[in-house]
Amino acid sequence: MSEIGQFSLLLAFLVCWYTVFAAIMGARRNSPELIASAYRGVWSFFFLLTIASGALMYLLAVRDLNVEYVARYTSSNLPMFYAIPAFWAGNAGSLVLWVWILSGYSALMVWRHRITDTPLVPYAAAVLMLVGSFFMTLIIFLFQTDASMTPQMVRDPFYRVMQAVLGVSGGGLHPTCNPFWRLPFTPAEGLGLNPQLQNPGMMFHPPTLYLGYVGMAIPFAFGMAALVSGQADNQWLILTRRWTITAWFFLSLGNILGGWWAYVTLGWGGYWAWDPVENAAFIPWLLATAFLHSVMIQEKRGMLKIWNMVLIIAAFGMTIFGTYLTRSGIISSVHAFARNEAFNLAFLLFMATSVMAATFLLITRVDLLKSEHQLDSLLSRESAFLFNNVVFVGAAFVVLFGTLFPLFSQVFRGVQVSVGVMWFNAILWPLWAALLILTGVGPLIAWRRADAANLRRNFLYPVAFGLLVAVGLALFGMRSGYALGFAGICAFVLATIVQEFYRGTKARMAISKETIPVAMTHLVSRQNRRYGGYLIHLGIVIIAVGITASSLFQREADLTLRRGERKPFQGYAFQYLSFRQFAEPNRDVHAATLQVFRHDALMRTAEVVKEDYYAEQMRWTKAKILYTLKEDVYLTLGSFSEDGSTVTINVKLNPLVSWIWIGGAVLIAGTVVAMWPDKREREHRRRTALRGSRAERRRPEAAARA
Amino acid sequence: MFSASVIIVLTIGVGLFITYPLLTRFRSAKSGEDSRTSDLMVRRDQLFHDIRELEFDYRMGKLSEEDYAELLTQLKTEAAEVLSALEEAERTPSEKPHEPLRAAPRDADIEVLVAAARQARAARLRQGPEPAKRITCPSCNAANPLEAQFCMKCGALLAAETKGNP
Repeated sequence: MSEIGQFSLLLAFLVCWYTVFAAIMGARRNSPELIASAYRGVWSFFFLLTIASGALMYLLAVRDLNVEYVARYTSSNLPMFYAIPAFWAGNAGSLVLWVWILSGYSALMVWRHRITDTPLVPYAAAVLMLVGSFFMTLIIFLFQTDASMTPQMVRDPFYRVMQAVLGVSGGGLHPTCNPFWRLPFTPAEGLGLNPQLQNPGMMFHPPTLYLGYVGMAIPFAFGMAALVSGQADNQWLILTRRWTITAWFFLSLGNILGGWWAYVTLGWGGYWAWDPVENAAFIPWLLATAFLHSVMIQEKRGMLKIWNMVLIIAAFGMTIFGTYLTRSGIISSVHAFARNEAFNLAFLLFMATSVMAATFLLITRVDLLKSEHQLDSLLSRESAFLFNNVVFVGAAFVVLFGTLFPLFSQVFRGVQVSVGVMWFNAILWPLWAALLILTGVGPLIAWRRADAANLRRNFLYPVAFGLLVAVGLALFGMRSGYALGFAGICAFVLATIVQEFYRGTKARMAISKETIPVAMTHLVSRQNRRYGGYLIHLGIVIIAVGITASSLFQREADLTLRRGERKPFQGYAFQYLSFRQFAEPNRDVHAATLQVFRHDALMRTAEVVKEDYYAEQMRWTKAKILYTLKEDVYLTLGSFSEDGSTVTINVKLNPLVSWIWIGGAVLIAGTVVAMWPDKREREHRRRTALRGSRAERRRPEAAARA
Repeated sequence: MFSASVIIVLTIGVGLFITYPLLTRFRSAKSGEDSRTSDLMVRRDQLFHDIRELEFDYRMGKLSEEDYAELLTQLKTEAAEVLSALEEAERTPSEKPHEPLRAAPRDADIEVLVAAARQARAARLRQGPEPAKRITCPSCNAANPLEAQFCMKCGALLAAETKGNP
């Protein structure tokens, strides 16, 4: 099976390069045959990578420990549920997943636009395949000389040839990122999967994030295609709108799932730590969000065309950078992976080349991107969008700087010093506040220029409501300036959204004489992009409330309890009941049972555990979380005496954390509404399909005539 | 053995699949005229959408009256241009108009626009080519160009066999 996987990769590599050339030649010569062949190349690429991925899944499922990747990330006692996700536990598999997703997106893209008659599609396909070819090169050709091997130990015919051609000396050739590489011997047992990864989140979080990362490649490819072909009007934006928001959907979902996963499994009571790899996922999200907003200005007013190109190049560059940061281990993090110089060099070269090539293209074609309008006034929706973009990009830069700071400090001072959570929070909170305010202002303010009447009409009630909430909370005893400020802003934004829905419904009822529920439904379904966007804003506001409360008002205590003892903390009480130790197939479990009381009434009986994993030789603390809408009780087992007579329990009270996940759900729902194909698009697609089938029908006639 | 046969089948299959369009007299599913019409239709739909949204924005108080009037005129002018260009494309005999101009815009304004465009077209059709080259719609008896697949007035399917294949 590993031979099939390995061969599929090799064949896919060839197909990939063929497609690049066929697509470019086809588009340049306007040859439908070559273009059709290139499209088939894209589909074959996807097909071959699907076979390779299937082969890898099979090898993981049957635990073929002779395969190095399988031996490194699984063990014979690892549950099947985690054996398959071990696919993306290491570098090699992650890269395969990356290209597989890229090939899937490309195949879908070509399928959707196969009869859209524009050179943008073949050029975009060529760009996507170029990106794919880089990752294929890494997987297949990146190697190191393994001193512990002899040249005779290389059994794979492809690598035997490669070894002979390159004349590797001082050991055997060992590909660095190839998951199908077979060891010269079969180990008795695999190393197993890091217990942190043995969580249902492992199933969903990495693939979701990759779907987001890789999805940004499609708007990038179309942007480049627009520059190369010289068709730099709004068509590329219209063609890629759905793809961009899809990528954004997955990036958001990936980030939210990542936060939730960290919260549930890492056991330190938080959901975000400004870890380099988290940042690596967050920076593209910031840039993609900026892009989503600024394309609206280009569509509506023909402005910001160069800016949009810059943004998509940056966003794509950052997704590659994110992949690099995640996979290279260049900055130590909880996600740390082994470092490898050749891998680093290849990635840096690719990033540099692609960003430079894209920038060069942009500079040479800049005359195609003339703005059609000027900014009329600082008080207008255009400038609100512009501010929004500036803040988003600024935030992205801050996060990037903070992420890379350890590298800078290593260069200048010789040690990696990271800037820490405080630094990020201190610098970023004004930016978040500004973004939240713009969330409320942007959708309401007038296009072109806003006058006093417009401002009064749109902002009177929301501002009043925001002030009211802030003053009310202050009267109820809230003393934190940050909290009051953010609460006021969130209330303001909330009021703008409610007001939009209210006025929109009223306007619809006036125009088409509908009843309230019908008008509401039509409001959302007829203008799904706009009202889906408002739902997303609502989700953001809810998340902001959760983040503000939980980061300002967390309370924490370590309680050391003898068996039967009960200690109070902040209106709760914790009683230690019993202790047990037992063995699972792949780990020992130490578990203490507690009773949690709230205002002296029993709330819940909970068990907190520490686990010792055999194969991985790691001790792991699992968090027990009692969720409520008001606050989470976050329990971990700190330490315990061998006989279980005393235990130390770490208790954290995290206010409003549940609202972060609720807000996340609202955001995701809003994105689905905004992504839903509206009537126009369905109509257009129907028409395109019709045209395609008619051309299909004509084909035999044409052949007969010829 | 199993792996070897899978590998051989894969190579041959993928090779044939990719080269098929090059080896046979493959005809692409596209044609230039069609795409021009389709682009115009996309633009038209976009404009109708913009007009509707503009009116909505105005009613929600997000636009001053002068801006509303000015933008509306701009959009309507462009919409009228697109509509007449579409009509032009439909009259060009090289490619058949498979989609009538009815795009179901909701607001009265747009209806008026479309109605005006239709009248203009009908007038031109009346003084157009001789009636022998027309096909009568089975459901509403309107005259349609020979190439039409759908009735331009009511949208009904025009039976393909009655006009014979070219």
